Amino acid sequence: MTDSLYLDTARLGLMSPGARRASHDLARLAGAEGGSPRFDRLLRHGAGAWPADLRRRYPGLAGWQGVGRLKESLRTLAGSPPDLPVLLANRSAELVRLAARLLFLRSRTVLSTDLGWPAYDAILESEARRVGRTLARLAVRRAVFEDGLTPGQLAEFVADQAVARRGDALFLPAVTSDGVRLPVEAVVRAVEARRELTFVAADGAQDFCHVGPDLGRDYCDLYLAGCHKWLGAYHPMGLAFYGRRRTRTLIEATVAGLLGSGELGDPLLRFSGQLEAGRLDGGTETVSLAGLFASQAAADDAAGAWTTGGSAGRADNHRAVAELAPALGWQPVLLDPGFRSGILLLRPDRPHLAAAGGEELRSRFLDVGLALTAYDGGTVRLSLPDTPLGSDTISVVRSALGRVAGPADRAAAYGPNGGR
Amino acid sequence: MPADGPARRSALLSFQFVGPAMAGSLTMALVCALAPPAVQLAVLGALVSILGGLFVAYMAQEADRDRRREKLLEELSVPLALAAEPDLYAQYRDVCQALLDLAARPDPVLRGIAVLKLASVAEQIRALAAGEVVFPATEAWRTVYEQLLTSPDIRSYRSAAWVRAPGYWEDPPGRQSMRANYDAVRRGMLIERVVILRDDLWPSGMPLPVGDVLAWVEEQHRHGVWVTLVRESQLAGEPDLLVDSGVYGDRAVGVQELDEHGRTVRFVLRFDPAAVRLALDRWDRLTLFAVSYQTLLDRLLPNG
Repeated sequence: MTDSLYLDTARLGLMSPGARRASHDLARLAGAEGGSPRFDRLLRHGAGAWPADLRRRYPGLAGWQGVGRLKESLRTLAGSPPDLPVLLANRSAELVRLAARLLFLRSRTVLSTDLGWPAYDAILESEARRVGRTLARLAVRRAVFEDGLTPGQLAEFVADQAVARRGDALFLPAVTSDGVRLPVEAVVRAVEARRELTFVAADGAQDFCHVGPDLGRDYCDLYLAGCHKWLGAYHPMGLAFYGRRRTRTLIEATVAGLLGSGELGDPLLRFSGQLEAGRLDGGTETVSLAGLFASQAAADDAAGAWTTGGSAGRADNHRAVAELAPALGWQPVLLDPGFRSGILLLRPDRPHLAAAGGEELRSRFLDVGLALTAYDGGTVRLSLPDTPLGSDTISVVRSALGRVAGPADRAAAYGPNGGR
Repeated sequence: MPADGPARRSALLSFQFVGPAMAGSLTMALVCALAPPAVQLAVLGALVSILGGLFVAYMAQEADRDRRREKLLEELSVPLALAAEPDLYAQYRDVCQALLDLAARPDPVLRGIAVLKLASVAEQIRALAAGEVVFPATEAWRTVYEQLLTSPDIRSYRSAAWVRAPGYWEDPPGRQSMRANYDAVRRGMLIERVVILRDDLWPSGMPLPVGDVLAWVEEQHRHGVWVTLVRESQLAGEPDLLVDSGVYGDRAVGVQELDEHGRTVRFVLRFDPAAVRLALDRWDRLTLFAVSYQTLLDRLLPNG
């Protein structure tokens, strides 16, 4: 059996080579040392604190130099100023709860859109109910997907709505799960030209190491991301970058308050803070640390190989696949160029695929050598790499799309599928 | 099943009816048997007239009784209405009992002092009834203030803090109130505060206030209070905005008067929708002059 072409990064990214080596050596270390003082020394002080023979024995962990260095690497990837903190958590949802608390802390109306991830919207709604305030979800999906809205028009629309609805905080996905790249900075600037925003949070789960961000531009108070998609660490780990100096003390005090009261219960969030400060209280529950080592290695792999804003390679790949798809029975969902990312949606021309279940469709693609996300109704999502697709790779994509689409009169029934 | 009260007997079987009826009937029977028709008619007329007179007299007495009953009910209506408010009724009874005890003391000097004091108390109660509570020269108002901040139906608090001296709300009662603010924010209350600063506390040209006031403002910002700032001199044309006040949801408005050392001279709390509307209007006007602390922090950035 040969490896498939993996274009499902938006669901779960391929593990980067460095992350693979780090995870492998961590597993070997765990088998040999468990939680011995040698492991503690590595965890707290990095591989530099190990004797040379240990470094030689576990070369995949050589890049680990402590939590501080990991945060520094992640900040570099996010374009975040070195003096602004970054939070690490086992569960991204905990960080979204933090964002929700901060958004509603000083706001009467928080604006969001109908492009957000539903689970995160539910967390925002829950917080809105708790404090008796308003979450105004702006309906823009149809305009973006069907009416040819441009990023500039979107920014103006949100600004108009902020005035009309007296919105004073903003929560936006930087890139949506279906690949819409939102102009978060432009939206924030447009709103702030007319009305003061108390807090801006962005969901960068599909953005981090894919399109953006550039947090040094001072437009977003809290930027949420993860390590298991486009970064390629594989082990899920949530990130929250502080984005503006003006809200640094506010976020710090809120995190401390929520951790103190137990309202934020993420063990890694607490533990990583203690680790960085060098003050382990011994009372934290046992924490999964695999994500730390894998993320450091993946960040090292990504350093220099990825540039904020996305490369021309990804745009070329997007264009190449979009051009070949119609002849094979698939229609690309083409948005205004300003909204495009490395995620491409294809809708089937064939009626039997339109009636298909996502899980079965995904399996059929895998059978013909292509790993992607498929949804009930036949739409598929391709996460395109940053490096230009070679002719061999293009051939795999062409072949897979053609073979799964099959003849126009073919009918089939498929099972369910989902996933971000 | 037993009846609730004693069984009622028919009026026709009562002695009050049977006795007079039997006596009258016997008299008329004797008159009819022994006296000529003219006498019979005269006796009948007399009896009817007596009956009429009794009826009219009864009606007059009944009307008088009604008047007295109504007056009594009117006097009883106060305790009856208060009976539904146990906390107030208990106070009413205590006051009534004290007044009865006072009435038993005939000393005219005591009576004179008592009347003067009672008039003052009555005035205070009338103010309370109008929704106004006055706390003179005491920090006791902070207890009520904290009750308002913990009231579950009050979701927002708009405050205007007129800072005329360093150390504003930095004494122990003030610190306690600030902690109540932060607890309220944690529970989900939206607290917005406009800080009016005397110009020497935020000198012209300085990006931020100076001294302890800055630490006080930063502390509030850190705890989630939305803080905006304005210099006192900017409000020279709007003297009615120079006031220490707070609007608690849409329920109450409080105005604090301080001396030059920041000690409370008077705190007036009004539970009055009209007063709340006026205060909100004043607060909205005040925000037009103010700039958020967050914006001031932005301006500290190299490109700000």
